Amino acid sequence: MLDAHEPTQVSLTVNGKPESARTTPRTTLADFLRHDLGLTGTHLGCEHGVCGACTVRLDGRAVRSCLTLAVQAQGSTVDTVEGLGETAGTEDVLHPLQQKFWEHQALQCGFCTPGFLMAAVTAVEENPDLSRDEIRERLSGNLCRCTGYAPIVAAIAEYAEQVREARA
Amino acid sequence: MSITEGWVGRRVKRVEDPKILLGRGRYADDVTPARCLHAAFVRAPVAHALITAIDVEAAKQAPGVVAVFTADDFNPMCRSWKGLLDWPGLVGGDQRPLATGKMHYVGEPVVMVVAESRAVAEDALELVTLDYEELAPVVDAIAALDPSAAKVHDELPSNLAFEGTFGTGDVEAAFAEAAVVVETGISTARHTAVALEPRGVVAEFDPSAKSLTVRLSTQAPHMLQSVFAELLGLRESNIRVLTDEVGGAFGMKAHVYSDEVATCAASILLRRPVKWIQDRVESLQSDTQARDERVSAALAVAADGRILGLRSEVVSDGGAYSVYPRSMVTEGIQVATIMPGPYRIPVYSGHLRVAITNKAPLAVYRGVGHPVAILAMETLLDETARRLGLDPAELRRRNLIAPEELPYTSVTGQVYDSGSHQESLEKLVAMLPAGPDLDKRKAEARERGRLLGVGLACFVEVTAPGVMFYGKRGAPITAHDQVEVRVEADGSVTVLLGTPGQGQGLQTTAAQVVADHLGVSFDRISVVSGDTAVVPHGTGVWASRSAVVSSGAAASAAREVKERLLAIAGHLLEVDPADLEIGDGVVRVAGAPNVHLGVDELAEVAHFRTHRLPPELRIGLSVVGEYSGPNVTFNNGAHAAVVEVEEDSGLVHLVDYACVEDCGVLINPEIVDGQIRGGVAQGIGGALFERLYYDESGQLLTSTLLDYLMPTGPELPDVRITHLETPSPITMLGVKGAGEAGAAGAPAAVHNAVNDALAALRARVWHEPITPERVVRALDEAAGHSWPEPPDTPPVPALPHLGSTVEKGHS
Repeated sequence: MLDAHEPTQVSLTVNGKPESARTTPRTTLADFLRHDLGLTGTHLGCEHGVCGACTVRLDGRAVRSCLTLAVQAQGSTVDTVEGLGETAGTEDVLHPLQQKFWEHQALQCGFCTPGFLMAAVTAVEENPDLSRDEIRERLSGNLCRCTGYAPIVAAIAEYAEQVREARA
Repeated sequence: MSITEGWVGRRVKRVEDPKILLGRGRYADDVTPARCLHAAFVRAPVAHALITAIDVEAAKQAPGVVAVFTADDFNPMCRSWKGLLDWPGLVGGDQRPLATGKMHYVGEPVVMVVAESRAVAEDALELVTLDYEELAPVVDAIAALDPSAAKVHDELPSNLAFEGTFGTGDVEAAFAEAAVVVETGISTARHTAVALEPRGVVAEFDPSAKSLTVRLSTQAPHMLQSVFAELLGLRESNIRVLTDEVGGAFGMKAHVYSDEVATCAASILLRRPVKWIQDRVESLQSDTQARDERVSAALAVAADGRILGLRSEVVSDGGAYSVYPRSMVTEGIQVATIMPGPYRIPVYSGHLRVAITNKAPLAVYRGVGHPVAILAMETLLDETARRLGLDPAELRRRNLIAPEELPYTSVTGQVYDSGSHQESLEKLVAMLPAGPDLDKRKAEARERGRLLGVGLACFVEVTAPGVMFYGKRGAPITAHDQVEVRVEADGSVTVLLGTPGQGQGLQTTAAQVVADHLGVSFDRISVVSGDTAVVPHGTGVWASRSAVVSSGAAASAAREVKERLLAIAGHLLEVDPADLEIGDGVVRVAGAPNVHLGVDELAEVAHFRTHRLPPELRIGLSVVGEYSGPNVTFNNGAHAAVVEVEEDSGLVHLVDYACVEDCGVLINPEIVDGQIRGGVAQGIGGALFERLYYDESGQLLTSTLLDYLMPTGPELPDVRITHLETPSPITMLGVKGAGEAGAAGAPAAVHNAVNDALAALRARVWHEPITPERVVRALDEAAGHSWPEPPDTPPVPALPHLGSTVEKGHS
């Protein structure tokens, strides 16, 4: 049994790169990513698992990093918003879903956006045939206070269409 | 001087977004200075109590704890504050960084623990012993005004913070003359903004320079620079306020907060950076709250539907403190003064009382009083239409201000400078089902066990208020913005915005305006904001002002820089600058398109080759422009909701939402659409879901996002938006504010739609949120089945006696 206050080594793969840091067993995955690894793109909006802003992918599944302990991710693969786009020389190239979010103005303050992006990438990967209503349902665990959701749904629907075409 | 192709008016993608999308935004908690300490607060566990003893010794001894502070530590170094605008008679209790002597609302900060980590600080909270003696809680705003009620602030004469009357004319005569008098009694629940980014602050005091650097999530950095200096006895020029991204604010982050001042004070005492990041429970308990209004109102109408007069009785639940510096009365006053709206109302009498209660402070939140005022007026109109057997649109048509009446001074003295009040309604009606088509849809819905209803709401909205709003009333709040426009040596352009955005895309709109008024391409412009040490003054983002005022300042600066560029070009080309035109970064001689100089060439000369220029020429390509905006400019709009109400469950489904918006010249229609949609979402939230629920002891029961219900994707319809563009004749660019219009109109449109649906069964609802329980109860009672339980509705204030023609609209 780990002592909640006794630091332990956590090693995992984040955005394709091996990472390792000492942290206490009670540290959430969100705090570990943000404060131990400096990946502050993952945001904490409620710290009780409702708002979805902290959504990251853990071994391909969308999880709430505020309800996941860092030690639970030991040996796992974690993907965060920082890993979505690609780096080409001095340019960052937006992921196609990020591009759609930009085109549809699917963000205003942007605080909820990383969670939406990670949840949506996962949802479309699992089922690119989602209708707009299904996208609304599927993303209903992510709260946005700025947009009224319609542009987010539109962006995800067009991205899903791209994924469908690529698979066809 | 022609602009070849304007950037203003285009749906340009926002410059703010790529950084945020890539996860590189910088919000308050994303920066942690070296040797930073972390704070947590013991907060009042009860609404109203005397603090009898605080024992912090055990917490101080905990490993990792650096300091534990109580009021005694901060009060000698920080003066108290209260938001008192010079409204006659307005009073409020003193507020301090930590509760002093008494606790006034659940969530008020009492003890601050500072430790090496947030987790250690939070653990140590449990080691603090807080002894208190509970006092009678003051929870209901109307009961609070009773002379026998316990007092929230012992030093004040009562719980009445403010009382005022608004409007003019012989109301008694109008009501005596009326063919029909309709009365309504409504309430809206206490809401809060729920910005997805909680509040947070990182304070860093440098004792050698006596300077304080504060990074925080705010919408008014320069205001806080002034206020922190004032409260903490520092020199304003030694205070630097930083905001990069702000994760939503909606009015809630325009205030001085105890916990944020305490964090600054702790950094001063400890000589180390101190960070405090709010959690969501603290947010729901201690962010400013809004919309807690009870309204009774009555409309006197002639037989042909002409409005003869209006009266209202408003009780506003101001909470425990008058927030600094905007005060607790702005919302209530707007409820009382905006109620006449876009209608020709000859006489009006509004009476407002603002009560002090043991709840978190009430302050401005997107729409500020408008949603409530519009709800009162629009429910009155729909009841009147039913009584007269008139189409609701027709009743409005007969009373809306006509174009030839503009500018129009309302019965509360508001000047509507311009607008499209009639046209908005006509455009809206054209977007909606009507006649046999509507009847068919209602019948089809009924077969599915649902009642279909359509609701309208027409409104005007105060935007971009000037110095009369706060400055003249004594608050340390400016009304103007400054923007610096600078052409760099390579011809690229830097724009320094005094007012930073909080997610609206202000950098993008500023770049569009500068592109047009300077004459360069949008792509050559970089915008900087959010550092008071770098940017010129800006009062911040509030009251739908920044598109009007900040853009005006940007245009002003850009025009001056353009004049300097043209003067330089005129000298180099040996032509009169008046014969030059600039567009897309190129200066050309009018009528001789082959003679031209690029802005990059001019900038190079102005920076490095000044020997080519005469000494009297202004070579500095950097200008700070300012703009104060108008006294106020009103936008207008008309909203419609179509709902289906499940007869069995009382659930309300929004099946369509349409609106017509007129906010003058559109700088970026996509951004305006976003503001409207977001505002409508918040308005729908208020109409159907959101409610901070305080029990009879003043305990907040809705302290997580599982309890405080915000709309999620499936609850919201796609909003269909039609724009009208009636330029404001009194603002620099013809722009009117747009940020709050959606939130202003939506609650009334949804409410009227629900009542239109329920009216088929002779039922109505009068209180928001319109919960399934309230709907089912209304349907049952209309069918003659009374419920034994007391209704889940707050009392509304009594209107003065109105005579025998009254037929009450509410049960």
